[in-house]
Amino acid sequence: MPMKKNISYIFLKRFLSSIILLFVLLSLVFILVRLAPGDPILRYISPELSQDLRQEIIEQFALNRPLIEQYYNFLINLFNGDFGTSFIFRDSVMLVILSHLPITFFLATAAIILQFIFSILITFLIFKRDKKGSTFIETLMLIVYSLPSFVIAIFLVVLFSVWLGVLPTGGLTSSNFSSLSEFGKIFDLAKHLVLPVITISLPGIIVYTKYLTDEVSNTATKNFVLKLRLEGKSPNKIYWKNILRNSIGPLITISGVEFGMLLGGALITEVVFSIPGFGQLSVNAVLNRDYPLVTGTVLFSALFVILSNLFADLIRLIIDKTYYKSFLSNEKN
Amino acid sequence: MKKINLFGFSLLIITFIVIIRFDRLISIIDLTIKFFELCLISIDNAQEQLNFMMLELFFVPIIFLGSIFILFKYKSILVNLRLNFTTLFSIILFAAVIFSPLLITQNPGKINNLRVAKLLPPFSNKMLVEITQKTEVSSFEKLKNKFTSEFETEFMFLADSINQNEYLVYQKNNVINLKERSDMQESEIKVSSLYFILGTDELGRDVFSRLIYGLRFSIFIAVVSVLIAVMIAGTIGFFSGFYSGVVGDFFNKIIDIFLAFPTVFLIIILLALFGNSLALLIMILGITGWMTLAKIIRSEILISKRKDFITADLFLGYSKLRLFFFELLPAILPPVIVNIIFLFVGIIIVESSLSFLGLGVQNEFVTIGGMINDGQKVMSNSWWVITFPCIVLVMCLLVVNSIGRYLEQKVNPKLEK
Repeated sequence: MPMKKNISYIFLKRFLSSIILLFVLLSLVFILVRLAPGDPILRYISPELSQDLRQEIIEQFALNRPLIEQYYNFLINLFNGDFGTSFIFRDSVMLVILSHLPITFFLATAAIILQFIFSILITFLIFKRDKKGSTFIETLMLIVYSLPSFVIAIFLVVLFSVWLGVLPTGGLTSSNFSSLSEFGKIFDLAKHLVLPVITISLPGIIVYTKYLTDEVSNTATKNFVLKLRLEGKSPNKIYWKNILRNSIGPLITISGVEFGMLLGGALITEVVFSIPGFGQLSVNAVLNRDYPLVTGTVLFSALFVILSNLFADLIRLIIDKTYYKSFLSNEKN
Repeated sequence: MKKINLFGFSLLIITFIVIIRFDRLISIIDLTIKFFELCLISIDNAQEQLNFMMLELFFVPIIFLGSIFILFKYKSILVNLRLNFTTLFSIILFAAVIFSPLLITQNPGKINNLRVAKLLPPFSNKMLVEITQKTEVSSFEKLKNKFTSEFETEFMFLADSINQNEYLVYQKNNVINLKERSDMQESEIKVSSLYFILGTDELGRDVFSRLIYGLRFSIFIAVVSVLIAVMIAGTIGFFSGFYSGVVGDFFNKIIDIFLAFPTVFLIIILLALFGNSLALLIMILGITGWMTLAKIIRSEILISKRKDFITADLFLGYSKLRLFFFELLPAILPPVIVNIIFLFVGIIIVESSLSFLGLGVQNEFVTIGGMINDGQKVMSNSWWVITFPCIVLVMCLLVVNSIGRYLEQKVNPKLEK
């Protein structure tokens, strides 16, 4: 079979399983919302109102129809992008979510880029030095890894904002933002985003470095590296040109998972730094019992995770030939 | 430091606790004896007095003697272990958890007089004024009030200073003249000093006591959630690994679906829809944490199944249950225990994050995440409210993590150090 056809076949299979997963997720959300305690009508009207009005609302929301029909309507509405109306914002859930997404998207992208750069650099440092030098970095990494992200965030705020007073404690813009010049605006935004980006990317940097060091130490023992060393090439050049390229595969898969989680899951960082992003929106939705908004945020974040997983797998399939082969051998089993 | 063994260190800690908290230990024993006396007089009256905090206090002497007994029973193991970072802090944290009713200086939920005790810095010292009526109040109730009261009463309150000759009590700008009270004739004043080792928070609650109870409560939540997760993971992992064919595939697919599911959102939607009661939070943490463990149990069972001793047992005609409990389970247990410890760490992190976001259990319970959340509001002017919970949480996570890694190396000698 030609190779191209195989790749599209594998991709189609991944795509279909993603769609099935999304479908399961939608059904679960529907079931959970239906199972939730309390009369759904009471969320809209108070119990003192007349029975006629109650009946009218039941008719209006089609709550007297069989469950299957309600489920069908639920799916149809979702595919039309109609998530309902948010209680707190008094606006379409879709619009509310879309207006909160850009800043989160920016944070996630910046974090992923930082994570890639720093993990590659740290791995290089560990690779360059021998065992003794790298133990310090590894202990430090283990300590940081066992910290919850809100502790990291608080530590950074105390260090840079309260003690040193260099950076702002939170928010997105200063109070005098509108009076600043164009350049000043960008500088002000950047100043507010430094700490959140560090907080978000720090745990990921460590996870990436862990995987990358394992892969690099694995690749470094391979025969082709030995051959290159015998040819007299410098170790640094071999690291950047040969070892890194052969070990970066797993990182792409992990970064797919990470990116999806970051898009919906930077809850704590956004709350600590009071950034009006997607994470804070979903926390607020839960705290205010805004059910349409909760459903919307959960579905969106699940969609992010599933889609970014899918794309990361696709990218890795194209880049990494061994991964592609392992996929094929799995198919035969 | 490496010359001290764990047995000696544990004894040292216990003696230290006894010396420091001797008066509290004595009054706890006193309370227990008085309670039993009350039981003999009228059992209904005693039942009315009983609450959860009292029960805890009654167990203190038993736990105390029990821990000394266990310490001497496992002396041979403990003598051979040396003191290092992990063991030092694990013993300190463990002691804080089991002796917590003895260690605290105040009921952790007690809201002190805000005039005196709002946001006190660490190592503050205030006067505790007790006005005891000679005849009326029975001694048992007085003792009980001392341990479990949640608010200041007019018979026991805090003060900045006191002038005992002229019966004047100073509370910042407020001066109370005790002579004006109608009941002063038949009462006497007792003044003792109360230390707030780690300061107080915004509501005048003692940070040290809250910290110890919060640590214990967070660990309790994590332990129960881990038990739930282990039960689910054990069942599904067993079915997916032990049975080949359709049954195994079906359960494997279930694990895969849940693995691909973004757990944070599952937790959030469950909390949003069903409220955040304690039992529900524990259930949710258990339900959302079992997937990786199930996958590991499955792969361990798959590896062990191919080994020769299992094949031999199969040919000997043992039943599948016996095969699982007596042959497979001991073989897969060590790696699974290591992963249970890492799961424990993960659940502590998730729980404290949820409490931090305000999505955890309600205010009546103290958790470390909730304390950090409280501290964040007053972070800029009083550092101690947030710093100590953070330190304890990080210590706890580091200790459990390093115990996990230590066991991992023991279980898997091939693993690089």
